[in-house]
Amino acid sequence: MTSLSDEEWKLLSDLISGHFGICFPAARRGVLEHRLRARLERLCLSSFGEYYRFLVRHPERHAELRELPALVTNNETYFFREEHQFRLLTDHVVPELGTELGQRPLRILSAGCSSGDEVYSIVIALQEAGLEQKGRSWAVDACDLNPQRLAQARDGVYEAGSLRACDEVRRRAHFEERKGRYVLHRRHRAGTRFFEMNLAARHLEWPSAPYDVIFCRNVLIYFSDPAFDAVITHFNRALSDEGYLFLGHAESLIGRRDDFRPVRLQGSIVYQRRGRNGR
Amino acid sequence: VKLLCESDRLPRRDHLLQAIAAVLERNALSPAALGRLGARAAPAVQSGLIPYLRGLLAADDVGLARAASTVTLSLQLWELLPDLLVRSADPEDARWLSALFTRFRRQAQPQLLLLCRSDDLRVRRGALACGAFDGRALPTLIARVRDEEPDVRAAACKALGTLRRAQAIPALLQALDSDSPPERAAAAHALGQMPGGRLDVLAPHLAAKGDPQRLRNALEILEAAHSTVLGRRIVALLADLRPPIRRAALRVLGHHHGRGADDRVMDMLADPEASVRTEAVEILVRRRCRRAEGPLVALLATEDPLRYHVIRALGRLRVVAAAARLTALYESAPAHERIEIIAALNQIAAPGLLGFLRERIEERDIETRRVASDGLARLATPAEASTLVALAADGDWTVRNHAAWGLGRLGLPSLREPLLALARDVEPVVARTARSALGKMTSAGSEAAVVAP
Repeated sequence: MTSLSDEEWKLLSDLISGHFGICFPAARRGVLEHRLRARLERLCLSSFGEYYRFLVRHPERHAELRELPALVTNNETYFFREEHQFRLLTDHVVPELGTELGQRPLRILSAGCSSGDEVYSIVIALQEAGLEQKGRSWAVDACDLNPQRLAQARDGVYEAGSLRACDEVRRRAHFEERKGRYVLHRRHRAGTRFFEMNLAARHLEWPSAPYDVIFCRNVLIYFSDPAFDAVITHFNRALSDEGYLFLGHAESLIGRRDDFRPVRLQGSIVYQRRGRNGR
Repeated sequence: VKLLCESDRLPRRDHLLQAIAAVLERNALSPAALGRLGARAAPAVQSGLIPYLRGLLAADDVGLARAASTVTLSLQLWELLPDLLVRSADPEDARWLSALFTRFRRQAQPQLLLLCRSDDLRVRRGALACGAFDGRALPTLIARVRDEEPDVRAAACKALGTLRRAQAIPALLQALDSDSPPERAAAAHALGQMPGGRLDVLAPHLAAKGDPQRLRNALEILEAAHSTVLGRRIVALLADLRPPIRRAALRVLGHHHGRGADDRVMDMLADPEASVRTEAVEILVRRRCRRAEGPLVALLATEDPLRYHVIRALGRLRVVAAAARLTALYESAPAHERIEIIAALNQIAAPGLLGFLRERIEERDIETRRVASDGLARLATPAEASTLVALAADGDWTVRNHAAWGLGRLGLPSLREPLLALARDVEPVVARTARSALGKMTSAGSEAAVVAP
């Protein structure tokens, strides 16, 4: 199989960026080549140019385009990744909402949820913080563009690597080991809902009730600037006034957006949507 | 390094660390130089460098953590090795650490082998997953395939795979029957790296009535190892009722030598399952099987989805006899085949193709124009230079890129002007192609000047 030429790299990276917002600049060209190579072999294609033409003309291109995000994105995720952000949720965001949460559930979106590790980490963090005992409930929506990952999230079965940031106590408390894999206890799935969504799509349908918090961590790092901005605009629409946006530590809105203000909590930056009065 | 040890002001210390790491990463020091560096730094290291680096190795900041890893190995601060190995839980970090350990194989191996027996499973797993080992590590690695933790066993399999020593095969075969999917996958991958001639031990796995997944795994291992053993059994599996098994067996057979294997692969062009037929076409191309040309040309008459692969195969095999049939098929073929017909004809480069390509460049479909311009760039003679010059002003960057390449290929002095314009193209890929073409023209011109009387 030939290596990825300049022209093939641009054709494929433009196509991927156009469909999914994910960009592959020159520095990540090798990553793109590495990730697609096995796919080409599977399709019995001998060059990246053939693969590009397959994606734009072949009758099976729609199915292939559904597979493509899973091939080119880093699905790296694990339970309690950057755990301090879950503490910020339980120690700051939940108390801020105060009595309001007595009348309605806490509404959270995990955008780019992959196999659900983040979603269930949120639920476990809320349970460990004793929200249920205080009569509080939650609704955690979770979206991803990869249907296989969503199926895995719904199954709630994980390899040991997904639990690498869990100590022994958490492993025993929240999972059951079966033949070297870990099955999440059913009680942690309450209030979760998974659905397929391409964050880079031009129009997104959000539930009528806005979210209090959106987690979108280590997803936008791979987005082109226009796609990044478009997604943040989607989040602005989906969040409540003064709702919080949690990004990964390598992602920032500082100097990029006026509609969110950075808030420093326990040494970490999170972003709060400015309310209608501009606060 | 002395400054780093003595500095206690954090931002400055972090910057120093990153600078030192950058120098160490760009310059491979000899083992002797590394030893001297470690010895000279030793007294200062004790005065606070260790806790500083330990903190960074556990930090979220990947850049600083990696700088700390580089300095840890360069100064041979072995007491920090467990902290460093814990980072390997992240696959990106694991890949990076593997590359780092490869540079320090000689110095780090004894320490890593000790840590393979650590009580901390993260350390054991990290040592095996990221360490670089040589043959002396074999007994320790084989012992770890019996570790109580499936993750560690999987990492041990991975490490054994990189050693490529046949002595590891029995242990890996045991791991192949593990309950743990990651361990089974690691064992299969490692067996695929073993010498192909020693994999006849997989014979019991090839029983047709056995577990189909086990059978497929065994076939995939033989294929990965390019193994040519167990030929009769492989041929028998080509008649298996399950298409995935036939396909996997066919892929193994693709590595076998001789006309007999060619014939078997050609027989599979008539398989009832499309994926098997496609695989057969692909393998025949890889084998450069000239005897397959006739049967492949005959398949152009079918309406089968296989025809898409056959068209591409004829191009890759450069079957001149297929050019006329491909050209005749063009008008009636569906869009995805039409593009591949042009691409195949470009590769075959049969006489008389330029007229066909000029017609294609006039079509409205952008992908058709792109592939046709590629062909024109490859095949145009000086008489068609004006066509390429016209394409150099096309609205599509791919067409301009092909034109730039084609103009450079012709190398005529009169084509310098359009190439100079393309070298300033808004699309960097086109500008690079044009600059490269101009560079070749200049050097060719210089050579001509030297040779000329």
